[in-house]
Amino acid sequence: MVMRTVGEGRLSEWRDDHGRLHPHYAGVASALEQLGPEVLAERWRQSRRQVARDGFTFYLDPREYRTTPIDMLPRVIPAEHWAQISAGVAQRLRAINRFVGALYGDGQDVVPNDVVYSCDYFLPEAEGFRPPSDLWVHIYGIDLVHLGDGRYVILEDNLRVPSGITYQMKTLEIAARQMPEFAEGYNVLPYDVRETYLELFRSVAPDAGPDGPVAVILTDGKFGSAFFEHRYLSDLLGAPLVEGPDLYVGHDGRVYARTVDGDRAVDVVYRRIQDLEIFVPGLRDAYFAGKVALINGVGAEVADDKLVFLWVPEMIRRYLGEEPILEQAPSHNLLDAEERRYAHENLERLVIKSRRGYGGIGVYVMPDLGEETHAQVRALILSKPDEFIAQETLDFSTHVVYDEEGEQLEPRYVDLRVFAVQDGEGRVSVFPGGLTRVARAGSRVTNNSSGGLCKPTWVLA
Amino acid sequence: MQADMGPGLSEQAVVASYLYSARYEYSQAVLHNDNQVRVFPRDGEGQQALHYEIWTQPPSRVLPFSDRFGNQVNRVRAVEHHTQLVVATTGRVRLSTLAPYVEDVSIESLREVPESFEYTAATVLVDPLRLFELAGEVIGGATGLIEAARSVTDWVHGHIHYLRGTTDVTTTAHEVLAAGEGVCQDMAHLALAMMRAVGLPCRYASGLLTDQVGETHAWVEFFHPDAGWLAADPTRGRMLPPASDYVKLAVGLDYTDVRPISGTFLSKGAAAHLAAIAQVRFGEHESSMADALALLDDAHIVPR
Repeated sequence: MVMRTVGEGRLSEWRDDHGRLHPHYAGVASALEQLGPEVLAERWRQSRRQVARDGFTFYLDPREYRTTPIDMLPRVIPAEHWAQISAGVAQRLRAINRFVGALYGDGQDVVPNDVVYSCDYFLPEAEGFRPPSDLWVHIYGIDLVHLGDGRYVILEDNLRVPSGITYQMKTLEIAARQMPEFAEGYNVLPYDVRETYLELFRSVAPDAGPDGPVAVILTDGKFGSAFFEHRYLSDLLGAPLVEGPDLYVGHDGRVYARTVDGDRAVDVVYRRIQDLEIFVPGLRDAYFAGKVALINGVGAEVADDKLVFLWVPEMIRRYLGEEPILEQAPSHNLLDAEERRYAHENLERLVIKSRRGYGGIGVYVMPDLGEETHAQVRALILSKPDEFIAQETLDFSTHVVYDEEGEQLEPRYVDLRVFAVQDGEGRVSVFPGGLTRVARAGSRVTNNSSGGLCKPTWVLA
Repeated sequence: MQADMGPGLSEQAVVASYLYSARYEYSQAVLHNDNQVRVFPRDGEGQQALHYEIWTQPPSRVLPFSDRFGNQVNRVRAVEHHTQLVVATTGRVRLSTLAPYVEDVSIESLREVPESFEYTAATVLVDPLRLFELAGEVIGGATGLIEAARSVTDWVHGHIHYLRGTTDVTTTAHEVLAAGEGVCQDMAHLALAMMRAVGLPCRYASGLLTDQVGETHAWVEFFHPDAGWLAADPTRGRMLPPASDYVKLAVGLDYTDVRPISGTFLSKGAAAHLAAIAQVRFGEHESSMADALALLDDAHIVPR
């Protein structure tokens, strides 16, 4: 059987410019050929059943859980690509951590005050606070696209509540179970999220005693979009899942969790919500007072502002004395009159992003949108340009997904969200691979909530 | 010519001092209150900023920056629990008393100016498309920029009845037209929409009238390729008034860009904006937080 591929994009993960399969996909392709369409169709059905059975879902308003669509054909990242990605991600994490420390510490002059002070995520009450080990960024998610030939480019940083690590794990797990044939002959880099996170918890709560710290995961509940992830992490880490009302700050300033066995002092709150003060009054002050470790802490979210993103290369040069290892998408500061004019004149080919957006909300990829939306976005950036940035649209890579009905491979745009952890001893772990998110056909927006798929992602040893 | 305040103009200039004070009350404790304040003197167009101060009660961290219009902004964030917030500012400016004398130019000459692309934009409150027909009629055969701006200013002054309490901060230009009444802000929005409909770059100006105690005032500035931004005040029916009529605090595309105080607070309760009042006096006057509080006591104005 010869697998047909329809309408492949210009930069393909799967084939080179001459239409030849990239050598690192030879094993996967041969497994596809050998199993044949009937077996593949059955395996793909099985994978959907397992997704549903395991509750691998995300929640969409209003009141609807959706199973996470996955495509088991893996993305394979060559070792030399990964060496560059992991070094670049670690470098960026360190630079942002230094910037946030300077911002709330002795001051900084890398990012203009007009940007920082107009950012909702800048919190003056964190000024003068110094977190243990100067650790501001614990868990970091970064969105990349591949432009071909090992050129990976950063689209955005996620520092508040980066989510998706368990989607990466769960997709791998299901594909390994349902399609073991793909992995034959591959030597894939392993990673251990559980051990890395527990090590992080221990490093930020060194005085917790011989049994290690008591950690809880603070969730916004089962109607949060990433509740699957909260529950999965809770099981994985042995950390109880709590909601806001389950926590309180005691008279001794420590944080307590109400449990069936009585109230227990908590050493580490791994928070998966944004507005701490609304959910747990006093939690932030307890953190500032050193009474509890908070992951992620308070302060780093300023770098989630998509306008602050523009200065990260400068942070790397200034704070680390290095050149950025990874490029980032060329972006435009719309507080600047010249840049506004440029964005206005080139709107049709740009991406417009809300400074405060996350998870694909407030992202307009103009080349993929219709005329009516163009008019709306033009009006938005003319009337409130200070709330947006403009980014050059990149022609990034496609990968193939298996279409069991058409018995063919279909190209779709893919990105890569990579997760990294920095612990109290300054160690940075970048989990090999990441979450490959696949856009809907014809779209470049890859978020689950926008109808995309997840792919297992391997890094070759 | 409208000119920047040079040393040679000092004889035709006056110094004015202002005090602005606003109070908010909350039905339950506020945990943090985060606001951007735009009640500081601007530089330019016949006004020179000399000095300003800001206080809040409870005390706040004050973070100064400029927005994209060059307005001086101070973000004030209070994290002490409170049920009342007072924001007060004081400042001093030097103002030209000369009315600008400017040669008119043709509307055509605006085509090439960079300001045209942004300052003719539609906003939520100012939608020129809906006023296209009316604006064309009002301007009639006018070919001069100032002539056209004057037609619009006079028309709004003559057709919109000044009345408080029938409009609010969300009232759009075409709603003002339909109602036939409103306050200075509404008249400014309507004039802006009509000017933008015929391609005149123009902006909303917010400030204080120098001859009274009261609320903030709103007027319009339109762009002249040689002379820069020129004032037109539809509420008072005045074209090209001298800078000394106002203390100019902020400019923007519409009211939402110049709100004196805007922001968010975290509380289980609701907020009531009780009062805002401003006082402008000629000469150099020092004011304190106590003066600001005393001024508030005199305020019987409950803004919309």
